[in-house]
Amino acid sequence: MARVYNWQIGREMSYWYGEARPKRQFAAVFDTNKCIACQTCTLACKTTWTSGRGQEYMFWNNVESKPYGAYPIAYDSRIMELLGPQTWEGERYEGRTIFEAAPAGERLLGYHPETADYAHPNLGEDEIAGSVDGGMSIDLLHPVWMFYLARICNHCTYPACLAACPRGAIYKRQEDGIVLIDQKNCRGYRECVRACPYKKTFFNSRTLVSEKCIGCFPLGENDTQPRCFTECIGKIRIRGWINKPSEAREDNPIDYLVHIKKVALPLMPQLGLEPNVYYIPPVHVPEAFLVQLFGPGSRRAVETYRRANEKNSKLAALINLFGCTSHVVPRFEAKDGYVSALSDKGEKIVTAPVREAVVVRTAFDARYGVPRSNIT
Amino acid sequence: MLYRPIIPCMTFAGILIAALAGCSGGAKKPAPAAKNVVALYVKSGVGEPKPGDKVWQQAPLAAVAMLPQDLTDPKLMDSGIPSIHVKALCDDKNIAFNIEWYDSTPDTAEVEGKFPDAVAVQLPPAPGGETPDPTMGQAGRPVHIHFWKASYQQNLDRGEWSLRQNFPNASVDHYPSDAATDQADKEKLSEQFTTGLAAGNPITRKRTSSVDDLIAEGFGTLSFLPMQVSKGWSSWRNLKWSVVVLSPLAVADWPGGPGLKAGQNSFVAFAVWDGSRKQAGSRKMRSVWTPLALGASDYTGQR
Ligand code: SF4
Ligand code: SF4
Repeated sequence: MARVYNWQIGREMSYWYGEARPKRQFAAVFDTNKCIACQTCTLACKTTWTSGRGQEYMFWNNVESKPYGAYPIAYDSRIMELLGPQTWEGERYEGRTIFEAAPAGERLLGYHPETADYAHPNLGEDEIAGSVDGGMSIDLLHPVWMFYLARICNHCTYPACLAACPRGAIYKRQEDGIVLIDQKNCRGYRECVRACPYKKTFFNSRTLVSEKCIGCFPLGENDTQPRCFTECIGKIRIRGWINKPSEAREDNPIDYLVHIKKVALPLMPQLGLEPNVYYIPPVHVPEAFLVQLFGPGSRRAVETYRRANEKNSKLAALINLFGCTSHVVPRFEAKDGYVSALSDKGEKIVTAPVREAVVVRTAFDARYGVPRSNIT
Repeated sequence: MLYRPIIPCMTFAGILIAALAGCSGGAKKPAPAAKNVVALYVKSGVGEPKPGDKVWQQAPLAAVAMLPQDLTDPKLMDSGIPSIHVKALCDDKNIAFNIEWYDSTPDTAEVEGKFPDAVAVQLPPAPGGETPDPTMGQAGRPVHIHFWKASYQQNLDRGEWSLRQNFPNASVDHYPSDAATDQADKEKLSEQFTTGLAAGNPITRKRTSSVDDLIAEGFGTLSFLPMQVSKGWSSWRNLKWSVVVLSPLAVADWPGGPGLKAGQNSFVAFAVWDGSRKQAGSRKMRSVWTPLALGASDYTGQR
């Protein structure tokens, strides 16, 4: 195993291959506070990529209700259980990653889900943590809670799927960091399925080879965000590029949210993959759960997000840019109450007001002679 | 008191051994299994011998010990099939292996969460004592591998793929490729939605045989030989797989060497996978090179 640097855990770690960051890294931020679990993203992906034979059970994009939902069943708690209790010292992870916890004879710590684990993609939907027990008609501050977690492949900097493939049939593209399975070379051993702790590679029983989320790279090559982003009803997603923390840019929306404001966090960073989809954590969920899922920066992220509007208009402005364009957003600017997505060259892609103007309409429309019904 | 429970167990084991001996041997005691594989020469031609065909009866039996693949990660760290029994037949063109092993579960499905049973025959592409590495060859010194998988056999026997073959109660409302009205469009669309097929992965092609003809130059280098010609047949009975792999001794288009000829001495190695233990790829039991004599004696029995 080689030694590589993983900034998400604040230290060097062991990985099967040496550090080889791509020229540019696909990255995204999902704001969990805005997701309504409409599953439009899931269906957008399904109809685009996985409606063929052998893909019936596959959801490259899925949305699960936390804490109980997980597709495949319990993928997150199972890997955390296998890993056992681990510790963070501040922002530095002192525990073992899945690569460092590899049992003898294995490249990493993983497990293979059973067939039935995929049979209930929305198990636990809307289930709350805790019980009401006849009380709580108005007690506030979330003694019970749940939230929606939308997931795609994280196109990790240190992909477990890639490390595990004994044939070298998985590769990470230099031009965008997207991780792909070579459909011609794969022999369906499913080491990647066992390895990926997020369970985002899938076996196709018709083709007998494995498949995974391709980050809609054909769209990306035309500067367009993936289907699950552009179709998102809740406008929770933004796709851009991420730099290393030392090279973070103020005008790069992903860098700004992840490195500068530290409001967006990776999913289970302790596993050591340096995943590149980042989440603004839900503000109403107990910190202990958030730390387990998003790492030790959770409290700060929630506090920053809660205060985004009062203290940092740039952050609030950027959050307003989510879902405003189908174009990949490499740069942005916030000025005079407006926020713009900019291309690499600085050209305006789209401009949106940070605050929508409030228009009060009378209950009766005199022009048409009809009463107006209140539909928001 | 502590010893008591052992007595009935021993008795039961005794009965079991007697029963197994009764199944396989009958009155005549079979010859003990040899360590080498001696292919019986069949002058009239090997043909397409199925498991259980009479022609196998005169072929000498070899017992081949299997070792866990523990050289490259991921290794096989738990147990696998400890040994296999092999018989072989040859003529001037072909060699057929009948490989048998105990496996209490015939794993034929290959779907997420389920792995199929499989067996592979590895041959050097040239005769003689200078064999490539037994562990799938080495750079510049390839081996030929003939790989049978229970799911291939199942797919071949069942024909056109359908989700219901493995999930009888599943229903799918619509495949976009089925929307096309004429057959040519349907096939084109279907290929578009079946990436392994569109990418030209031979694994995905319509099966004409349950055996892949492969070449390797070390771990992780397995690829398809240019001509796919080997065939396979199988049966699972009495907790035992019996698989026949029939391959040409030499194919002009196969790179790596001239192939083998009847009358020569060579080597053969095997690998076996237990699907219910989720074995695939490098998680397998393998053998060392086992001496192989091609056509040592002539078959005298009936076909
Ligand atoms: S999320 Fe899983 S499938 Fe995607 S790159 Fe990371 S390890 Fe591979
Ligand atoms: S489309 Fe957007 S809002 Fe709807 S479930 Fe997906 S991520 Fe959530």
